[in-house]
Amino acid sequence: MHFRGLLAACLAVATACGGCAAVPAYQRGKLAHPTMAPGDAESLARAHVESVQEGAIGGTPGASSGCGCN
Amino acid sequence: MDRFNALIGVVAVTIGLIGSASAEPAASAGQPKPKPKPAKSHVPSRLMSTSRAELAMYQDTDAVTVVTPALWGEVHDPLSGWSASGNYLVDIVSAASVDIVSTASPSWQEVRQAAAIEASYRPGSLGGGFGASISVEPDYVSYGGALNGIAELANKMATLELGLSFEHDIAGLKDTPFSVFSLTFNRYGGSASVELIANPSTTITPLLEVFYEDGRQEEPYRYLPMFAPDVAPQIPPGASPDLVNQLRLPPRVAENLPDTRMRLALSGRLAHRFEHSTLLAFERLYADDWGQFASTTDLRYVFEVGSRWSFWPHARANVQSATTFWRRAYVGSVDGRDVPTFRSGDRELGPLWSATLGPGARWDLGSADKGNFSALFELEGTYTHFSDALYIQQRWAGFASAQIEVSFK
Repeated sequence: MHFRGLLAACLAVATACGGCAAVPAYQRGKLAHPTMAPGDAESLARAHVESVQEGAIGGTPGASSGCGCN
Repeated sequence: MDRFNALIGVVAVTIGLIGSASAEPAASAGQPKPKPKPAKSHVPSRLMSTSRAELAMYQDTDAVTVVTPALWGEVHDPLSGWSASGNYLVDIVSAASVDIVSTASPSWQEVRQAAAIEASYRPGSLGGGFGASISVEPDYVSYGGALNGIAELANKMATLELGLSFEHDIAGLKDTPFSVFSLTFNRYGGSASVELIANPSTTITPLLEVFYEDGRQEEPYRYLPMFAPDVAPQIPPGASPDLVNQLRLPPRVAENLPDTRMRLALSGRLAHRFEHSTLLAFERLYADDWGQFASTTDLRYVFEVGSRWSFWPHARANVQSATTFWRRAYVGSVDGRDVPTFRSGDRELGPLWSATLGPGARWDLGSADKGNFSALFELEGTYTHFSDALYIQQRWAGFASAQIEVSFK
């Protein structure tokens, strides 16, 4: 049931975003700013800390190791 | 280990490529100018490269310390559309956590090495890439690979990205060959995201991730205390090791988890550029067939002060429910045979919430046109509350990171 809920939410987001107005190329200067990019200056070490300490992160290679746990 | 060494070599070559790319020939004074070459028909090239070195440290109130030096490098050509990147890090872990102390085990230190490479090619509106990763420590090895495809749609208003990933993990015992003892599991992943341009200042990126895991995920060292049926309800959250040892039944029982796990996550990322600042917001909703649900929220607001400094506060909140088989105190029998089929002592499979807050700063030097040198600093504190776990109910953690980044055009 919860999987269905998540899928429904996914569809809702996709539908809502379908109404975005066209933005011509010459107006996209702000979008090219480095801070807008995913992973800009991301800390490799922090990503691993988060993957170890948040049980729901998952899918990160090596997330199961190097946790300092037993 | 040979494969690991080979991968380390590939990473070194990648980082070396970045170095050579950054050493674009400059016209030396006094040397004759070369004859101009006839124009070629292929797409012109303009290499850009970025290298980064990081030193990070993590320490928490559960006596875990991790020191992490890391290297990261990328080279890409925005005109022809290819890019390659690699990273390598070492985690030096020192642990005397309550889980270790409670089983009368000595504290330990170990080193984890991890490396990853990625390459992609997107000459036009279509592109693709691949990646590989490895993580190695004395009793744990993880290999991963990934493929992705990218398509720009609707006059570049939307960028669709589809990805597949595979990971193979091997857990063993220290000083014991994997051929003698090992637990393995595989993780198969699929993802789909669409980066949408909402307006000239905003992008929205929904992301759907699905993972299927198959294999043994138990920690080989993890043994759980068992309690008599009338004692278990009396064990309070955060019960001390002394109290647990006083009330538990004689046998300790090895952790046992289901052999398959299906995970599903829906995320949304919003990036909005103001005149001199950027807001980044991220939300991830998660569910799996072990009965765990979670929400993770991440916020960062980067604001620029002058042309060389930028600062940001970073906040992160994570809340998650327990898996269906999670118990603070498992009921067992004196002979250790009558125990729950699935049982775990991994607090990350129990209910918890955490909050992270901290500042960051970036100092840019150099010319934005020719190249740049930047220093980044981050300092964060995290509070985690475990509402239904043995030994500890809360954990404070500090994280500090310093990075030096060099980029060339």
